[in-house]
Amino acid sequence: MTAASRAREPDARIEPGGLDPLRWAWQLLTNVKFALFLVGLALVAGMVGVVLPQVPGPMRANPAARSAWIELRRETYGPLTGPMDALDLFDVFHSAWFNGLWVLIIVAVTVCTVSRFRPTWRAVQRPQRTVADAYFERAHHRADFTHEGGAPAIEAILRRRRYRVERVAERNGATYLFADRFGWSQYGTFLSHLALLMLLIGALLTTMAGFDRTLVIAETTPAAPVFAAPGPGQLFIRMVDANRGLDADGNIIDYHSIVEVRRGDEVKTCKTTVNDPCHAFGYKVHQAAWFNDIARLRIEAPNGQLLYDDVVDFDSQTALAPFIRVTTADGRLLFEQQLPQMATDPGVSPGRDDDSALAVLVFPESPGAETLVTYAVAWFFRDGQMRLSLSGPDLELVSLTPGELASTGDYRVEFVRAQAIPALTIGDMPGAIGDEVTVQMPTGGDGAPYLLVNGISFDPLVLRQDTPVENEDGYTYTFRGQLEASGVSVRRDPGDTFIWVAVAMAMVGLAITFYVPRRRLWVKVTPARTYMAGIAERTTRFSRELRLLGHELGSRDAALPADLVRGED
Amino acid sequence: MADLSIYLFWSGMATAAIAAVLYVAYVASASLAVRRVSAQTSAGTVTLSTASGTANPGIGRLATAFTGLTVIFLAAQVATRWSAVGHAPFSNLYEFTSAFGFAIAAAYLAFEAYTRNRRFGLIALPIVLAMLFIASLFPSDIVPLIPALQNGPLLTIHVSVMMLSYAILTVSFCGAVVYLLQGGEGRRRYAALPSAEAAGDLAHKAVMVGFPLLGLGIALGAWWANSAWGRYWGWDPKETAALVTWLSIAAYFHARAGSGSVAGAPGIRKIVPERVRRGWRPDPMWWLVAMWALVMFTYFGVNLWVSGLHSYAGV
Repeated sequence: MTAASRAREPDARIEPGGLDPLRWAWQLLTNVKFALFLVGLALVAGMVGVVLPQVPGPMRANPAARSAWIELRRETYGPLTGPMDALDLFDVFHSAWFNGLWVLIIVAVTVCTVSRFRPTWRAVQRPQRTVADAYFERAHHRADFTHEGGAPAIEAILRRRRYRVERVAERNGATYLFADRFGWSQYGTFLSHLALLMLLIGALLTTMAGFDRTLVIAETTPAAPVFAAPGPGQLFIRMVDANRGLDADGNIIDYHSIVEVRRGDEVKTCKTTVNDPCHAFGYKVHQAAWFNDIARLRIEAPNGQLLYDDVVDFDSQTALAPFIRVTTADGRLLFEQQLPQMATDPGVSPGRDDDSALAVLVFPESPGAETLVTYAVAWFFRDGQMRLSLSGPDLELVSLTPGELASTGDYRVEFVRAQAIPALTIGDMPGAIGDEVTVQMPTGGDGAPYLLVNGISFDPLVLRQDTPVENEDGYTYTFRGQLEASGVSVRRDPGDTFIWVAVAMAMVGLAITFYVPRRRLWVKVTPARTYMAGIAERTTRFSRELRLLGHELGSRDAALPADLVRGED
Repeated sequence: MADLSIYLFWSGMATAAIAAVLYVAYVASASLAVRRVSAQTSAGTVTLSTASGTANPGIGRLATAFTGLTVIFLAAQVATRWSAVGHAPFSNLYEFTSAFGFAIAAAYLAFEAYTRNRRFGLIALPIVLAMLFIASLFPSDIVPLIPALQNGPLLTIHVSVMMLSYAILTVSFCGAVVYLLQGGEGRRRYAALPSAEAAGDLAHKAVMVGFPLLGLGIALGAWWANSAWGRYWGWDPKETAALVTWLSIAAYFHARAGSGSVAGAPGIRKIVPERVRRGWRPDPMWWLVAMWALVMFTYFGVNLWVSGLHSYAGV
């Protein structure tokens, strides 16, 4: 379709000598069809990576987590899962074949750039000035017409159109001209191809010399070291404040952290937000995540010795609990909060299918009253939905699903919804009466979080903030509050500068290639007729342009009727 | 302001529908118009009627006028929405699909003025209408901007450039479709439609604008990712799909530059049978059709069906 593809000038490629395999590889890598093949492969590989689920980054380095993730894929892909995994189709962008493909593309681009530089340089500096007469008859872009003024008129009009015009020969009564416009724009393609090489350099630097580590740091905890190996250049980061901002409707409108970065005696305190990292000591500290499912717990032995004073990180582990609202018959609120699990009814089967969670719902008999009313509550899951059973002194056993309401004589008990609350099983808690201790962190009716601990006492212990509770063995537990934490990514990337330079080069290269209207034109002017043939990239209508040139010269037979009507053809 | 924005959206949709119908009528008028040719013969005067291919200019001007109105209404819709939400209105599928409709209409109108050829509106305006219809299916509620998008300048520039590039590539797709409908260069199956040369020229000129813009948009996204997450590339589905779209255009340019198939490449032709090497040679314009399918997948498919770091830009 392009003029260039049909009318090429003699090509002076660098031809490597020596071994045939090298020549074969060189010819293959410089072939535009092979480049198209590689681009097509990259395109298909990219789509595979987009359409198929990919192993999440944090799981890639954890074989157990990765295996579990792959197992989950079996539900969708069945027996194909194994072969697909073996082909790295669930981790396309980190597979050897994908990286190999890009290496091949980069090598092909490099070879193309090198091989074409000399002929392009020659084409710009010493372009082919003459063509055989037959070319004027078969060139894809050509025109012929009669006009007044001969060669000088052609030269004048071409110069007005910014062509560099040379009179190259005069023979048999014909004058041969060569006209060239914006020949230097051929370098534009080089610039954009060189940009790809620059991208490779940047990516290599990022991979080999960059630093990237994500730390989860809670408020009130000691400063966390950034590097695995200690040394004088070690960085420490302390979380001064991990913050999440909510608007009046509960929409999240901000995440930010105030961090203190220390190297030796130097300390820098700064704020990092999702879009604006903190810069310190040549590193960037990015706000990557935010958590509030962390509690601070203090445990003292019966002799007063401090056994533990640190965080309990629920690490996104949760348990579902009912959120219950109790009102009086006339609508006054008595209870409105999550009801954490206090015990388990193991059911009759050895499995957990018929297990039920048990809890006690306790509320005042009227607002502000000292007398309490107690209902027994149990819940289990069926068909993916929580079902709640409720019984009490004035209430026969009723079963509720989320959104349903039970009315007793004096109260309305509403199962508002099932709600996830942080919950964690701990194996080695001091003072435990069994092997395992379960810690839950629900939110109370006053909006304050508290801990409900099963396994350190015969009954579940409720730990309210800063209120020490002693178990039967004399261990004292103090919930020191809910903590907020931020995941911060500490990064340094020496490759990114190369990436932006590459982008600039690619943009300038593309702009030159696409928008500088380069033309090469050979003209044969005879007393009877003028013949033009040329090469123009990025336009399919150079012939029309040549015919209109003749029309402008006053020719009556140059332009076709359609040439003079712009559009609608 | 938010209500006014909604009214303007529906007004733009109505004018787009009228413009789409007018463009169909305009092209239909070209296929219905006949030219009578008379000739004196020994048997008397013979008169023949042939399709003239000349469209009714009045209908064409009206179609352009309604497209102009669509652009005005949708520009005002974007502006009033911007004012109502306090940031560039590109934070959910309603906002950026309606803005995409505006961008396609504006890009088409610019190319119509440049080429002085109205007949591509036959394909472009139904696409605009379809975009606006799809936008109307998404919730238009105003919700606060999530923290990840709270970078006003980059949100505006990155998304605008991506959207503009996709809009211009849509115009290119229109040219490619007409080119292929006509049977390729040098052929003209339908007199009422633009010639393959004109269609190819439009497709190529548009892709020469859209391709660098798409590259710039991807680069701006990388810049944003680098400033927000500390990495310029993470193989996120959206950025990968955009890169794949960009690669499909790179393939188009390489397909134009070379003739034949890869089977004819040196080294390969020795091992590929002659029968295969001389087989089907798809026209490079097919790459532009594939490109637009990828644009649509990147725009809607990734947001609706694939989860990733751009999932916040979902419904």
